[in-house]
Amino acid sequence: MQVAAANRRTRSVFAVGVVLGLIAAAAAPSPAQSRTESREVPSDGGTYRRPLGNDPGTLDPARIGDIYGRSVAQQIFDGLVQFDHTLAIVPALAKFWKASRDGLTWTFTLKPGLKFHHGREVTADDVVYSLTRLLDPRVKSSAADVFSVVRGAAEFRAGRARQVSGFTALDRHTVQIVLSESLGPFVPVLAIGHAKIVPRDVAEAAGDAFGTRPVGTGPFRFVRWDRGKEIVLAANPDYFDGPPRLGRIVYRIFPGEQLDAMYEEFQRGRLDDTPLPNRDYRRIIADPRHVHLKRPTISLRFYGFNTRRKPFDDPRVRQAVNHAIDRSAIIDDAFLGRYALARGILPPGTLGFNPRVNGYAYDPQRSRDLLARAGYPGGRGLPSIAIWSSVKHEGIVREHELMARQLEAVGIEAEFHYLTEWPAFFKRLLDGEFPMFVLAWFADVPDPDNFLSKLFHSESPRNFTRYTNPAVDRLLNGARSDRQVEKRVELYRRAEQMILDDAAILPVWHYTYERLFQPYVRSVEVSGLGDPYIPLRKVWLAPAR
Amino acid sequence: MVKLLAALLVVGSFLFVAPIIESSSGSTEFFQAIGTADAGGGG
Repeated sequence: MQVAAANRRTRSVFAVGVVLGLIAAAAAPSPAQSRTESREVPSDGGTYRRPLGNDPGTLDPARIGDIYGRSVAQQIFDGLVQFDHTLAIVPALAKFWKASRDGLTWTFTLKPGLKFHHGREVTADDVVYSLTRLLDPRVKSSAADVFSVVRGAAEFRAGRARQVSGFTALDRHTVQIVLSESLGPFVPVLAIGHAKIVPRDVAEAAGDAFGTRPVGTGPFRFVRWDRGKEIVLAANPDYFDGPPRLGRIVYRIFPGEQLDAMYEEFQRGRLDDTPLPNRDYRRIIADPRHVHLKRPTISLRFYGFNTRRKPFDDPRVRQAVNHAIDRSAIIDDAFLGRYALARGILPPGTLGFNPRVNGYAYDPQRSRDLLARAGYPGGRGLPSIAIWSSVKHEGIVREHELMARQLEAVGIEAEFHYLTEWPAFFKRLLDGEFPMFVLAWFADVPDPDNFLSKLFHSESPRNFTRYTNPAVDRLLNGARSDRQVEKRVELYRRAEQMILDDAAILPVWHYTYERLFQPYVRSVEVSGLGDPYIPLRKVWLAPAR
Repeated sequence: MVKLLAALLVVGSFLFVAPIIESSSGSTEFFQAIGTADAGGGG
């Protein structure tokens, strides 16, 4: 049977070899990691102080929709399986698993002796509860559609069944999941951040408050959350994979991603890592006193248009904005060339990334022509455009100065608004209140579906632009269900081109993960999924601190 | 000959109905699965 498994993996590896190669390249050992030397003795305990760009919306893993909550929750909770630093799937709470030959029945056996932070043993019933919760319409988890292939999911979500028939606790430590249709290998779905195992008794008793008093199995347990100030976690000495080396983690919150303030605190020795500000960037990265870690991530930063609201219900206006903005100049001027220009939607390293996509060139005359054709010659009759941001720092303010100038050159007047309270911004974004907005999008699985279906399928709860194109929906549905990788790639590429042609967004860049670490920080592993997925249980502080 | 056929039959039926062990402690390298992704401020 091991031979069968090996053969199966060989075929899989062949099918996605290119993607894995790119991911592996992105997951090479980090400078902070390479500083681990054999003569050093790992230091037990100590407090690790990290900046967090905003207050999370929630710490309930099923409901998280932002990287702030994900960063924290990844340390508190475990799933059945997890991604390692090369983005391969490895066991977490599950000791092993097996699938029926038709790929429909999956059986997971839990590791023995697992305990939640409140001391109770983890059982198969908790697993069934946690996964069922993702499908509960009252929870409003954005992962619900990912688990729609589980048998009985539709009946449960429609209120026709009290349980999901595809989830069964076979005994105290064994869970069976039955799918209604094969979804390729099902296991990576269970590695996503939503599919964490929560204690049934605590989650049921807490209700919505579970998101502010989370209890999991992870290497760190929740201590407190002072909104706008800090979130504190403490080491879980009973962690199944061995206790973490750090004693505590303190996430200090800098609402509105105040990069300059973060760096100042880092310089004063009050933070152990920090993102880099633009100010003095070149001097800072040349400073040998800190470890500078840099690598590509699977992400997209873009401006979205509300395609249901005037004037952005007209694709020609959206195209005009795309042609009006000189994104390369913005990246170079406001961000010192630190990010990779996004010509399309899919980031390099994602299955289906198309290097031939060119997107919209900076072409003010073409922009003016499009505006005229839309009925706004020289911008006449076009109302001032409100552009919303949840972030305000020197770089983005400079970016907006440049954008305002470039838009004005084609006859578009723009006004910029900053709402740096992230939960409030996110709610208004979901409610469709912003005509145009800036947003970052970070993959949790390096699959094109993460970007194209989530952001642009008409039925996606994360379709922030309200973009609707039945032809794109058909392509995305086909790509999801097709089992041939080559066919999926072709369908996703066609969908990406159609979305770009319709100019649902203005793609700007793919993030380069870039961070400074204090010189005593050791064993930092950063995968292509970026900062939220760093396993802090491995990090330790050298005695020289 | 009969014994050989019987043995082949047993092996064949075993292969036909036996579950596939997907993983024990090794890794499964395949990314057809879909995810959810997370939003951020875009700073």
